[in-house]
Parts: sequence; structure tokens; C-alpha cells
Amino acid sequence: MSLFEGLSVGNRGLSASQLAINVTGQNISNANTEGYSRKRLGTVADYREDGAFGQMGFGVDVRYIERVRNIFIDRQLNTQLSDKGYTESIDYSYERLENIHQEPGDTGITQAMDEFWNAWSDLANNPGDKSSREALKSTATVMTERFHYTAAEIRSYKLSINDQIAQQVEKINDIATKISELNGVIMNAEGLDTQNANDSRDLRDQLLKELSDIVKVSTVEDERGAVTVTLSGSMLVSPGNVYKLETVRESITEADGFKFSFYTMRFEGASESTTAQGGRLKALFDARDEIIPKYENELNAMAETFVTKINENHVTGYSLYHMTGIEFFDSTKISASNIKISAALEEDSNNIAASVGGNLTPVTSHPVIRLAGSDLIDLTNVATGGNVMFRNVASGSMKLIRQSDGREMLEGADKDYVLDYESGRIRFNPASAATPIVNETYEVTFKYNDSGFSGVGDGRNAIKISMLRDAKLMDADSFGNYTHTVSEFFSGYIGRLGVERNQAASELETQKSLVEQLSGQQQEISGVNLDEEMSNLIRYQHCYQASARFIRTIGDMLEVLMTI
Amino acid sequence: MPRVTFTQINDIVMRQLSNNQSRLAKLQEQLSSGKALNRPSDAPIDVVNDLELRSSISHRGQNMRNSENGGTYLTVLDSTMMGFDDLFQRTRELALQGANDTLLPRDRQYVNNEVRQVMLQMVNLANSSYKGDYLFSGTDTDKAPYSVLSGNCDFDTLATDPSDPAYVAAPQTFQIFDRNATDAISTPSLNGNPEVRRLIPGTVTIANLVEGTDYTVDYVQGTVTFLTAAADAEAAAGTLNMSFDWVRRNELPNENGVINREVERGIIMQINVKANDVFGSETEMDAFSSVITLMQGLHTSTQAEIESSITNLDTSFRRILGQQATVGSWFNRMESTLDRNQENITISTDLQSQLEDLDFAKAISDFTLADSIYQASLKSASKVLTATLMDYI
Repeated sequence: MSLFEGLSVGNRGLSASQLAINVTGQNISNANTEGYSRKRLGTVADYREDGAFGQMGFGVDVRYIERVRNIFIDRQLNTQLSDKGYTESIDYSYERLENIHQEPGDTGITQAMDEFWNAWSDLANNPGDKSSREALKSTATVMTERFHYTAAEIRSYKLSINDQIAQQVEKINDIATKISELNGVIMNAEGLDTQNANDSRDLRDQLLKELSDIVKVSTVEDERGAVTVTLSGSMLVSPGNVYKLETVRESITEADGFKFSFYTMRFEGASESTTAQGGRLKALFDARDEIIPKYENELNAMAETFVTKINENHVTGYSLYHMTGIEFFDSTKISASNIKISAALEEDSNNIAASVGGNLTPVTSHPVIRLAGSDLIDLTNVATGGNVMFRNVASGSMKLIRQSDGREMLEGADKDYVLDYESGRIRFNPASAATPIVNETYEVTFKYNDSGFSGVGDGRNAIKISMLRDAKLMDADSFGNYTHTVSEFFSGYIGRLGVERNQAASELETQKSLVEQLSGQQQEISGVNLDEEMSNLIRYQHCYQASARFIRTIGDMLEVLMTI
Repeated sequence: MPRVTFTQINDIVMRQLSNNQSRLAKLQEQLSSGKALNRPSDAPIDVVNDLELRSSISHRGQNMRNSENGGTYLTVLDSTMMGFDDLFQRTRELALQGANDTLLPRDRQYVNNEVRQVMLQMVNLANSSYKGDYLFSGTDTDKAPYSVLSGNCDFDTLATDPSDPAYVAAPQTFQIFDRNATDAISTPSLNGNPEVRRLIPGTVTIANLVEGTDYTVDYVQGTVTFLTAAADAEAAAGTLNMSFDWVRRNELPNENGVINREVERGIIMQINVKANDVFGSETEMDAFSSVITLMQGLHTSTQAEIESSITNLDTSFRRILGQQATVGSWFNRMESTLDRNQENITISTDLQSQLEDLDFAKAISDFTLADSIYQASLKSASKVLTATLMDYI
């Protein structure tokens, strides 16, 4: 080996150390860069064939700069990240649902229901008293409002999830596009065997990580370095192309008439929709389509039960005005979002049917005659001439028509006549504009209670309704028998919510520790350890110094030769 | 030995700190709300039990209110009936006084006046109400059971013409009917009007005729018997007019209506008594009629009648005592229900509190512990995070 060869060896040593220090510098600067994997110089001792010694060392050959990364751990980590994204999002949904309900507490539905039942009992204690009726009306209103609030909050959360779906799909498209661009860059840069597009790969891996958090994908790398990303069996990114996703609006009308645009997802140009298989996006779909509707339906079932069962018992009862057939709740509004007390009740709390008794019978076109010299007529049966008197005529049910001119007489103290509901006697107003004539025949249509109204003090219907509190009204079994009371049903509902939240939370904990473990492993391999880099720096520096020294030594030796 | 990078250390430190922080935050939430259960996921089974206990407590609380309401009602009822006891005692005394055969008719009239006052007090008691609802009217609580009215009778159905087939020579007995009744649901009588009964002795007057000579009155039944031709003459002249006071038992369609209270879960108790059970029905010798028999005896100064009226008074008195016993037993039952409900509420509240309320001592000690752990983790983190080789190179 000649001295000039030695110079060359020294030179190569110098540049190798320089490169090594550069790489170390790169590692140190990027120690905190997200997704950075540490780089290492790949060096090989170079040799040449020599006649005397066979292989003679020829310095150091820097082959490549390698990126220290384990793709298997990356793949595993991405899968776990998808699952973690899924459980985290689901856990958050449950947390929202829990907070909406405010149970246990004094402002939830449970309290409102208890007070509603109590108010029925108070009414039973004092059916004739206006204040107990008003109290019942008010507790019923509060209860319906609690239902409204809960249903509205759940619905608004559902709508916000819908919006988030659109956003996430956009994000997926964005990331996919970037991945595709990087595919191009990497393919171009990695022309030869030893060339690595390290930084682009780092960027691409980071993007894949972000993508996995949103939706579960699988990746395959081909020999040119391009990665194919598959989402639910269809290609999202191919070596040369991006296939974007789009959201399609479908119009949905819910049971109570509420309309909203509901997003589904599909690949652009496809006719069928695609479902996400994991990740936050799937959690959003699951929350919107399965979890929330389940709770909404149960809440609606409760509201419907209230409306139908209470109405069932209320329409057979009698109000203070001796009327029956009155609804307590508006029977057209059976969802939690629109349950409402009936218009009759809204107008007058005396319409609450606390009493049981009566037998409201309709009578149509009954003829009566106004007797001579009398302002008073009894609802007698003219045909038989007997003395059947219709008593307890239901308020608001009377229609009195004069036969001679078909004129309908109006009821009212200032109008044509006044009706005494209990005795069924009609007293004409002498000053009436209709100038009722004596010996005139009239036709009357009305409803009356021939068995008699059961009295102002009868609260038995109110007691019956208050005892519905303990009646099994929900959850029919296979024989059609109900198995739970409303409050048992609701406490079960809340319990399930709590259990499911806990399940999600514990799954999340498991996922988190799995992700942490894998992240740790990834860091172990690819992360920059500053202490290590520090000692490397010293090492390479010394090496550089030594190479420089070697060159100087060779130089000195050459000088010796030159001065012969 | 595994390679450890700074990022890893950082991650671990951050994770632990955040775990500690969330534990502290949870304890802090509990301490400031005073509740161990703030949301369903804190302890789902406990929450279910808690909600059910709350409902149960609310229900029992309502039952207690119902029992108290019922108890007060029964107390008022009982004291009203005790008032009757006193009045009946007084009436008896007056009866014994009036039975003394040394008294003159005029003296007996004075006694009669006193008895009349007592009877009017009885009517007032019968019309007692609790919170505006009449006690003895069944579920027609807005209508009084008895009224004292003044009436008039013309006897215009008297057949006065001897040639009239309906004509009967004196003595003729006539029943008085209430033409003003607007609630004629009783057994049809003259044109569907109910009979007038319980005329008040001492208030009946017929112009130009003398009681005892020209006519007699059966005060309890409300009939008048004309004895002499002078009465017929008056009738012919159309000047026969009787004025009187009477005690009317108002016709209430729902006088037998039942008033109930739900005193325990699924158990309802009746709290009202029927007027027929307390005073007697219209077909028997009722309370007021019994007093009227005494008054009749005093008014007509008939010794035998006064003496026999004492038996009637005793019957009425015993009837009321019987009802008082019933009311007393209801009241006792109501009281024991109240006690049971109260006890149940206490136990349930205790259970609920155990589930829902925070054990402060434990929470504070947990908090202190968590806090010290947090402090320790912060301190150790600071040591770990700052150590680096660069300090020494």
C-alpha cells in the first residue's frame, strides 16, 4: 500500500466521521419531532484485492443512512391505535349521555316522576280543591319538560355526531392525498437499491398513524416503496392514485316528525355505502346509529307508556264538570320530545277526572215543551207524559233548538237560557233576544249521567291512577305480561347506562396500556436517546481527530520522502 | 437491557401524573358535592338501588301525608261525634226534667224551647265540615246533609165538597209534601215530591184553628189530622194555611260515597262514615226524629210520650257511640300505619344515604393519600426529567 492510499483512507475516515456527526446532529435536532425515527450510518469496511495479502483494507465505505424502524411494531401499533380511537370515542359518547341525564339527583326524570305520582295522591285526598288540581297540572308539566330536555339534549348530541362524521371523512381524504403524494416522492427518491427516502417515510408513517386513529386500515408496501392503503376492503390509496370518500345525505324522519339529514359514507363514484371497521369514525357511526337510538327508544317507550296508560284510566273517570272521555295527555304526542298535557287540561284543571262514577248517556233530539206561565222547563219526556227528569247533565253538552224556526238557543246568563246541570232544568231568560215563546216545542240534544255523578268528594279515579306507580307497565315478556314498573324500568335504564360506560372506560384503559406498551417498544427502537447521541458525538469527534492525526502522520511521512 | 429514550420517560411521567391528577379530581368532586355517587358510572348497581330507594322514600312520604291527612279527618270526625254525645246527654237531662209530672204544660213549653235550641245545635254539628267539605255527605262533600227550613202548606188538595168522591168526613189525615224539592229521586209521592218529615214542635201554626182541638200533628211523620168540621169550613173558605219549621234530610245522590286514603303501598282505607249509620236512615227513628218525639211530648204535654221518647234518645245515642267506636279503631289503624311508614322511611333514607352520601372521613384520608402520591410523583418526575449526560460533559 502506498502512502497516497493511506491519505485516501484517512480522507475517507474523515468524511465518514463527518457524516456520522451530521447524522448525530440530525438525530439530536429531531429528538422531539413527532414520528421521527433515529438515523444511523451504515458503514462497511472497504477492501481491495491485493496480491500479497489477499484482501487489503481500503478505508471505510459509507453505504447508506438507515432509518431504525420496526415495521411489524408499526403495524401492530396502528391496529391498536384504531381500537383505542374507537373506545375513546365511545367512552366519550357514554360520558355525554350520562351527563345529560343528571341522575342520581333532584333535577332528573326520577324526581319528576315521583312528584307526579305524589300529586295524584294529593288530589285524591282533596278532589274538590283547586290547588291540588293546579299542583297536579304543574307537576305533570314539569315531568313533560324533563322528558323534553333529555330527549332534546340527546338528539342535539346525535346531530353533532352527524356533523363530526362529515368532518372526519374530509380528514381521511386529506391524509390519503398526502400519503399518495409521499408515495410519489418515495418512489422517485428510491431509484437505487441503497437509497432511502428516510424522511418521507417518516412522514408517511406518521400520516398512517393519524389515519389509523380515525379509521382502521390495512397497508401493504410494494417493492418500489409505495404503500397501498385499504379501507374496509376497498383501496383508499394505491401506488399511483387516491380514491376519495364522500358523504351522502339521506333524509330521515323520526317518530315524532323531526327531520334531519343523516350522513352515510361511500367511495366517490360507488353506488354502495362503505362502513368503517374501526377507529373513531366507526365509533361515531355506532354511537349515532346504535347506542344513542337505543336509549332514545327506551325513553320514548317510557313517554308512550305514560301517555297511553294514564289516558286509559283517565278517560273513564269524571271531571268536576261531570264530563268523561277527557284525555290527560295529548294522545297524538307519544315521544319523549313532544309529550304534553292535553288542551283540555291546559285550559282548566277542573277537567282532571278524579271521580269514578257516572254513566254519561247521550240523548238526541229530545222534545220538550215550555209550559204556560213558566220560564222553567224540565227535561221531561213529553211523549209518555211521565216525570222522568234528566239530572246531572254534562257541562257543555247541551244543544237546544226551537222547532218552529230551527233557531239554536244559546246558553249563558246573558244569552237565551241557563241550565242547572244537576237538576237538568232549563230556565229561559225573559230578556233574551230570541224571545222564547210559551207553548213552543224545542228539541234538545245533551249527555247526562243517569246513575248520577259520584260527587265532588270522590277521588277514587285519582287513587286508581296514583296506584299505577306500582303497576307493572313496561317490558312485556313473551306472554305479553308486563314485568316492570315505570320507575324500575327507568332505574334499569340508568343502571345500564352506567354499566356500559364503565365497560367502555375499562376497555379504554386496556387499550391505552396496550398502545403505551407498543409505543414504548417503538420508542425503544426508533427513539432518540440524547445521552446516547451525546456519547456518539464524543466518539465520532475522537474518530475525526484520530483520522485527522492519521492524515497528518501520512503527511509527515510524505514530507520525509520529499526531503530526501 | 431495553433501550430507554427520553420520549419514553416523558410519556411515562406524563401518564402517571395525569392518572394521579384524575384520581385527585374525582375525590375533589366527591368532597365538594358531598356525594359518592355523582353519575351512573360511579357505581351502576348502587345507582340503581339508590334510584329505587329514592322512589320508595317518596312514595312512603306521600303515604304518610295521606295518613296524616286521614288521621286529622278522623280526629275532627271523632270530636264532632263527641259533641253529639254531649248534646244527647243534655237532651236526656231535659227529658227527665220534663217527665216530672208536677210540671205544668207551660213549664213543659219552656223545656221544649231549650230542647229546640239543643236540636238546632245538633243540626249544626251534623253539618260540620273539614276544610270546606261536609263530613257526613259521602262524596257529595259540597252539599250539607241537613237543613232547617220554614215551610207553608195550603192543603189545596183537601177535598172539601161532600159530593167529591175523594171527600172523607173528618177526621182526615194528610201528608205534607215538599213541592220545592228539585231533587225528587225518592219513592214517587205526590207528583214525585218527597215527604216532609220532622216538623219542629212549637213552630206549627194554622190560622183560626187550635191545635189539639181542631187538628193534631204527627211531627215525626209530617202528617196533619183534621178533627172537626171547623177545619172543613176553613178549607172550604180556602183560607187554610199552615206555616211550620222542619228539619230536612237533604237528598244527596252520593251520600253513601266512600272517601279513601292510600295509607300504605296498595292499601286504601276508608275514612268517612255514612250519615245513615250515624243518624239513622229515613225509614227508622233517626237522631233528629228521636229529639222531635221528646219535643212533641213536651209541646203537647203528654207524659207517656215524654217517657217513651227517652228510649228513642237512647237508641240514637247508642248508634252514634257505635260509629265512634268504628272511627276510633280506624284512627288506631291509621296511627300504626303512620308509625310503620315513618320507620320504613328512616331505614330507607339510611340505606340511601349509605349508598349516595360520601363517607367524609374516608374520602378526606383518600384525598390526602392521593395528594401525597401526586406530590411524590411530581418530585420524582422533576429529578428524572432533568438528569442528562450533558450536565457532565
